[in-house]
Amino acid sequence: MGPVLRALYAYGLSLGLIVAALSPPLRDPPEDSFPFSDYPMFSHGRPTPMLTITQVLGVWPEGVRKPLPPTITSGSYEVMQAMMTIAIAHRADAAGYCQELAERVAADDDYAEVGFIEIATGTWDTLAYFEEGPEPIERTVHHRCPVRR
Amino acid sequence: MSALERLDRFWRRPMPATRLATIRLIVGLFGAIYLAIRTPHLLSYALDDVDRFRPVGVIALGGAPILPAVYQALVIATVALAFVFLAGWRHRILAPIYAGLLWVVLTYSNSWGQIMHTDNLLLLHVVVLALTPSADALSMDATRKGPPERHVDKRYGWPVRLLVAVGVVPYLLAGVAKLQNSGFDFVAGETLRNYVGFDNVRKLELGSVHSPLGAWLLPYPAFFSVLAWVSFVLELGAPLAVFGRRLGKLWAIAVWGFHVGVLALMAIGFVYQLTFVAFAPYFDVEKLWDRKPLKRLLAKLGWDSPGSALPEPDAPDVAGLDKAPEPADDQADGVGRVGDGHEAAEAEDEPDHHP
Repeated sequence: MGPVLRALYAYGLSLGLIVAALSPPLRDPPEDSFPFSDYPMFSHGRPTPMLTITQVLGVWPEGVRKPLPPTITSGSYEVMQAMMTIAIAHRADAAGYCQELAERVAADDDYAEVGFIEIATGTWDTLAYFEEGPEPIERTVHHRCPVRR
Repeated sequence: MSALERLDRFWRRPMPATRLATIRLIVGLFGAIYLAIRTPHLLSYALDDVDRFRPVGVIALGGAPILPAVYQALVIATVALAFVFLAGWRHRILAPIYAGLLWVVLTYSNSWGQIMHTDNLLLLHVVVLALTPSADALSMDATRKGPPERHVDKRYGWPVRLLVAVGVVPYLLAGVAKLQNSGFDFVAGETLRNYVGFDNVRKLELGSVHSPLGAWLLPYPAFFSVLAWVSFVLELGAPLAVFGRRLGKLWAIAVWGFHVGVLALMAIGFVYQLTFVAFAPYFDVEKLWDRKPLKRLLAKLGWDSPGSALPEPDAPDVAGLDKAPEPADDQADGVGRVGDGHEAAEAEDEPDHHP
């Protein structure tokens, strides 16, 4: 490769990658993609400490409810992946998703005492959470299904 | 000298082949271990669930999930090629294939509803290293072919600049996004504290691990306001790291500290950054080979022969930087008489070398 071609290659690749990396916020609407993103996470104003999310709960004897981990809810270790899986799956087919979760729980000895699965949306004051306890301000159960063994 | 000439002298400043090659080894070693450990995780996306499929990037071009068996084969091939990339074997052909496969596999794993931002920089660094002569030294190719014609050359300089440039862009964009979406409320208000509380509770309520330290600090809003200012300055000031090596090194260390803070307060781990691998391009990493254990490792690999690895300090093409700080432009491809690379790097701290 001659010197001119080398220079063209150097600047072509450099400009191409830098422009591609800088371009997501310039699109309409701005694009969060991979590997080029506008990096919107944690950028929006959050003036209050309130949190509302849809979650998957295991119901133990005596009615004790505990969130089930991402390995059960999405088959992955990624908590954000789990959050999106729950949101998408519960909107698409809550009954089918609940049944799928019940089967996973039934096959896992760590959850031998779990009798029911609940898909619920809860709201918390995240500052009070660590001072006063983890009980939600409100919780709506969308779907409940038994764990059959 | 015109602005374009100054820009060219900055961007394509000669650097030692061993610096770029050492970055390839560091990034390549990280990639090989990281992908090997995460193989089960990557394979878990061998799904055909159309309802959950939210394709992004290159995967969106296809529109439908890849057949699970085909995706599994791509993951295995990517992991195998990660080790080939590390060894620097048939780099010109196999490294771009590795970069392409890594692009596809990582994009696919981000195509299920949630885009993670932890692997963006690893992928972009691999792309740059795969498309540049990063295996001209310290590699199986170098052992086979012999030494590069010039140990210190323009073609080893601009890839390092590019690695740094693509490394600062995500931080700049994150800062711009904060400015656009919440303005100075991000630093003046309680936004960051609320985010830390929000993220920790979200993790707990989704059955994952949280940061007890972050939860413990929530009653102290002033602490989070200071952190918000620090992150704002680091993010919006990121481009300065491209234009000064000393500043770049300081910025890299500060951003590493920022990621340690994010891990401590929010249990969010950017492994590529936390291991400092992401910041290798900001440093004279070829100096690592001056250490005895690494010299012995080179000897074992057969990479320390004059034909393959480090430049000889007295070699004609690497002597005399102190006498000729400006590379001569009259040689073929602008390769000048420069030092052994260490001196070249230090000389870059001089402000008159910047555009």
